[in-house]
Amino acid sequence: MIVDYITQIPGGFETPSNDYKGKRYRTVLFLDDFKIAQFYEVNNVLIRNWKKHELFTSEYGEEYASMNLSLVTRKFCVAYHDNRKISMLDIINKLQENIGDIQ
Amino acid sequence: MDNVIRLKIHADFEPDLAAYEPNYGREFMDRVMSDRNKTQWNKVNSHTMFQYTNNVLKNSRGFINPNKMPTLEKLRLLTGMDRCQLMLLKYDRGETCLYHVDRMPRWDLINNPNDTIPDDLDDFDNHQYIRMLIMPRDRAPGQYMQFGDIMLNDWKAGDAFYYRGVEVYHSAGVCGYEPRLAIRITGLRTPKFDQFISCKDHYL
Repeated sequence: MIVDYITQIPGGFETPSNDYKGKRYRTVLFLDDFKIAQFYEVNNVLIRNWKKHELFTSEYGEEYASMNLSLVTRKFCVAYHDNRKISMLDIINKLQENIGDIQ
Repeated sequence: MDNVIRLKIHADFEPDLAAYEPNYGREFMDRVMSDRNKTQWNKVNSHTMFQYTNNVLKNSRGFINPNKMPTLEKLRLLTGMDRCQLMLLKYDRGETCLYHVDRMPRWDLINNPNDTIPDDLDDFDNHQYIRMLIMPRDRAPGQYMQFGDIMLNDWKAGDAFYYRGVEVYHSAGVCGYEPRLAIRITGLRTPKFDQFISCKDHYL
């Protein structure tokens, strides 16, 4: 599993992409509640009204993009993985592992 | 849609779009922001200042050239606004207009040499003015717009949106590869305009 931590300042974005880093699934772990003007879409379908710590999984082949047009920074973790089932704990543990590698 | 009136303008805008020139000057903004005493800062919309000071890219703008853009120029008559200003907005990748309500200062119009503004209007917060947007092209991936709690990623060429921009928070931006163009029409409300928005389909 590959985990990225993304901080998206106002105006920050991810270009529309099909890059799943060689994995089958891409799961976003939202670290803040949804706010108006914070866009996240998969295959042209807007995802909204998420809650903090909610997960959203897309599958290889589905295009994703995001853009923050609100005036506050938002944060999320992104996990690329092969097993369909994934939990917040899996992502956090992997992230901590990565941080351990840095230390 | 709450707070938003959606219309359809049936026209071929494409030939006119090639004549787009980002000729809207930023001189006023540069002058204000370089004022170390900050005496003029209250004349600038707070989101514009936010973008300017945080290096968030803003879209470019250009006035409609009636000679090169005859179809767009017809919108002046069609909408029936008084003191009508037509402008084409272009958002390239990464360019945004962050969450904001409109302030309509005089400087927003005086850059157009063809416009004269009556002296009795306020310098800003000009609630007499109204605005609407017309999308000349279909939406491409990574293009977004928002009005109030409506977030959109599905417009088609000719879709037009009227909303109270001085009251309803809105935003737009592009993270995709295709530029997003929008025709922005600003002017004073007239009975003809009310008639215009009461009809959902228009042909140019």
